[in-house]
Amino acid sequence: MAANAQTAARARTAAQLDRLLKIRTWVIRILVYFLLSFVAFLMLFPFLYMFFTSLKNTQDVFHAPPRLMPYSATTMSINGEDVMVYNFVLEGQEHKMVVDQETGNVPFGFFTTAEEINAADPQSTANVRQVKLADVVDTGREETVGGESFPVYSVSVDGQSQDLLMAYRRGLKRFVDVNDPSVEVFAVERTAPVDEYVDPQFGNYNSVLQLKNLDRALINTSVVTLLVTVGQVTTSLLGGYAFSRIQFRGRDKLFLVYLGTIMIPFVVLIIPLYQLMVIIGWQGKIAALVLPWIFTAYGTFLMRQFFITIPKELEEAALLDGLGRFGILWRIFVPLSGPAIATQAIITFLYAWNSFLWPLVIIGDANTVNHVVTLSLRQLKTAAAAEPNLVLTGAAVAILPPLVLFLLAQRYFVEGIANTGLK
Amino acid sequence: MAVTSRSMGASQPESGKALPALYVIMVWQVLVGGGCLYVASQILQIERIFNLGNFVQIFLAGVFTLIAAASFFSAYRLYQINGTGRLLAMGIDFTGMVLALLYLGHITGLYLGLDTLADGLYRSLSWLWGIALGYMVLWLSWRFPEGNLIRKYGGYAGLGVMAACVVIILLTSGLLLNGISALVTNILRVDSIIVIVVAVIFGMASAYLLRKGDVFGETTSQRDTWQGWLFLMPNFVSFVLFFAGPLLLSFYLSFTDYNPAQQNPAQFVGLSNYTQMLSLSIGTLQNSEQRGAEVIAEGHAELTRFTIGDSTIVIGARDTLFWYSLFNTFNYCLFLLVFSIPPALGLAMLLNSKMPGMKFFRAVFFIPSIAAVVGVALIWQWLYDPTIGYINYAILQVVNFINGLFGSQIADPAVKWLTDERILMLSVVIMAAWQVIGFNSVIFLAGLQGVPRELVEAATVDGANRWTRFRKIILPLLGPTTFFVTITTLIAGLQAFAEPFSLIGENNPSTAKLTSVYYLYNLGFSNFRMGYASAVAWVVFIAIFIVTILQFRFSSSNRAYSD
Repeated sequence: MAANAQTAARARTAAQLDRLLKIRTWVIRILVYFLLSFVAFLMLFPFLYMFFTSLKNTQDVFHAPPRLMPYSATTMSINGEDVMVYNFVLEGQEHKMVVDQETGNVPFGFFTTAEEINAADPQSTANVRQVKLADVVDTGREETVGGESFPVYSVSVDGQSQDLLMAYRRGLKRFVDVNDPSVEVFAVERTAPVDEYVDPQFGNYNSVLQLKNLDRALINTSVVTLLVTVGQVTTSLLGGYAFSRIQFRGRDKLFLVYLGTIMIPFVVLIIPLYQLMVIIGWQGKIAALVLPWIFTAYGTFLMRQFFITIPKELEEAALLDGLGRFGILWRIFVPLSGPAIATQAIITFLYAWNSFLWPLVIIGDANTVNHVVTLSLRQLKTAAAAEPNLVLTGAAVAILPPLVLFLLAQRYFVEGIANTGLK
Repeated sequence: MAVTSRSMGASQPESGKALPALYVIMVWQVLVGGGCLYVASQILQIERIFNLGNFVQIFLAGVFTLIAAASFFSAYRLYQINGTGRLLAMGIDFTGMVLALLYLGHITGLYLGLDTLADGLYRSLSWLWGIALGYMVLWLSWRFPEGNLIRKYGGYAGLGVMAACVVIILLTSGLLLNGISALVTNILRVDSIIVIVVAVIFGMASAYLLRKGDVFGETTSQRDTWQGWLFLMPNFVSFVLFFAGPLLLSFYLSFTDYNPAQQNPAQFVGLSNYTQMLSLSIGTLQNSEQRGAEVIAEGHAELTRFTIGDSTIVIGARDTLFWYSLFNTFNYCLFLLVFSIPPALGLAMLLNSKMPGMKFFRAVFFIPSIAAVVGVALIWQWLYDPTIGYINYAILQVVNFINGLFGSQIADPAVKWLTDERILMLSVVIMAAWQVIGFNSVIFLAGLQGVPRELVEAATVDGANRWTRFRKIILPLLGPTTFFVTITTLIAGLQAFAEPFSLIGENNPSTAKLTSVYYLYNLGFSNFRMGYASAVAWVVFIAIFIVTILQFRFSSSNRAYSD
């Protein structure tokens, strides 16, 4: 009996412990997900901001505090004229109102007591009573507060007349409800709450393409990126095969030289390469963006590293079948190295699409016809400085192609880069 | 089978009975050698070669003389029916053909045709959709199994549509008619015809030598040699033309006063660029009234001063901007490392937990690194905006929240991210770190997945808590990965240009935005002091070189541990 009870108790505590552990794992899981989601939000937010801003109109971009959704002001046609619609909340009810243009500015006084008035800056007095000047009576007296004198008016408060100081006066516009003309509000037009509705401006994308040659630049960049990617993959395949499989004289020394060039930064080459382009007449030409980039020591190295993992037996069998070197490369090595080629193609694509310093130097500002996307963006930034919505539409256009490629070939990006990093 | 017969031929060279065509090739090799010598002499006689200075002239003449010598030597060895001579002649002839064809492309304007291509594509843009449509048809018909009629004819239809669109694009853009007619007229010029003839002779000579392997008793190693170089040719030609050559030129220019905006050619100035750049002068102020310029050497401007005890030490430099840029680059790298590597490691640790959805987060974190820096800078420029930007808005919200919670009176900082000299580099670094964190965490994650699970579990059994496990097991095993990430981030940081250039902008005159490469860009492409800029480039290179050597040292000493 006692033994039985003991076992039961032990089982119970074990079950409790188990439950506790489970709860703990769940808490940790939720915490991890929460943290990851927060970081993911930080990572994506600039892109979200870009996308939403690219749909805004120019007034809405400058709205403070910032907001994501693209809004436009509601307008209404009255007597053939488009007028702004405002949105006032009166006694808990929303009213769509428009400015009564016929009345014009109505003079208003802003009244308060001598105790509450902010003498140094009357306009920012906290509790002011806004009353039409026509409804108050000037007592003719003046009261001095903090060295400033203010006129005293007799104002009717809750049915009782009371003497109050006028802090300041201002002309206000009369707003009337569009549905019920008897409902009226007096307010400053500039700061009145504008009635807005969500209104994405997809036309921004169309208009930004016409700006600063962005459409032409997209074509140029596509041509350049395609040629550079195909060229680099081709030369790397050929070179990688030679370095990994052919025992030719001078191979190992040359390979060391190639390895050494990987760490040479492009900035060392930029000035002589620029001069070379000037000498052969490629300054400002698309050829200058393509042909110097066909060679890549890094790509050749990656391809060689991949090729040496392919078993030699495959190749020897093919050699016996009478397949030449090119045949072996094309029929055996290329099909086997799909992931390596994809990784290299993606790295090259990103590099070519996003490259900036070299196009900036060699194409420059003058030849806008041959601009690539990054150069157009740079010009767009200055040309449309007053229209951030268009600037960010341009950025979206430039970022979209790599983004789409990423979504399609995510596996090769992340895994390919993780693998190259480990080698 | 051809392999065996050739290698058998190696044992019995058929010297003595030379072929008549071989004599023609020998004559050709001598002609090539003579031609190279002539070119070398011509190069030496040119007044100036693009203002680059006579050093380049001498160098080029030397290269041509070397080729001439090699060509003469190959003719002599061909006469002896020597295998190495054949390889040399083949190499010269084949390279000659490739270069002649490349040159032909140059004089006929083939490369500049890329401009026409882009132009044509631009003008017949709508037909590109046709290509996409054709591809869709092709793709859809390939969904059907092998042998299905839809697969067959749908494939034809798709390919047909694509081909038709390509032809229409070529026609409407004028690429086909105008382009080809321009090419033909250019090819029919005298100089083009000469180049074509030369290329054909080079090609025939190398093809002939190629087929006469058995005459020369070609060994396997010799065959491998020409085959290897043949495969390497596209790679190697562009390596020499666009990498090795410019690299040498850059090294040479860094010792000259080369300035293409001036009329006179580059003068060799020895180390003066480097001394100008690196020269420092240190002096101690006698009293507080003394000006800094009085205690440092002539030609130097005050860079910075600091006080130790009673004495104020003034450091001056000839090129203060260089030192500022160096300091900024150093700062940039330091903060980039701090902001991007520990968070990346933390994210990788989170991602390494075996829970569903990690691949999604990994992909999301990676996205910033694929976007162009210029585009990203445009976004961040508005995020950083002091009045309508989200960053200041978020700060204000946090400040208000804290004020509301504790009743404190913290004022809105209203940071001027992009104009305040003290923090604009910080703004650049934050953006750069945002771009690189996901990339680094993917590499860290790959490293973490290489950490043996048993080791961590054994430690857990031994009672090690999370922190101890991280510090004592994971971190040491992650050493090589951490080092790799640090080095790649550092190398990218040392070359930072687009980030400050696009985010801070050219209109901001502050020197706080100058990184080394930015300074180099200004020197080379605004002031055209290209000799001096080359020297700056080599200093950047040396910094990267040191960092890379460190990486090699560290990773090779760590290899044994990680394997």
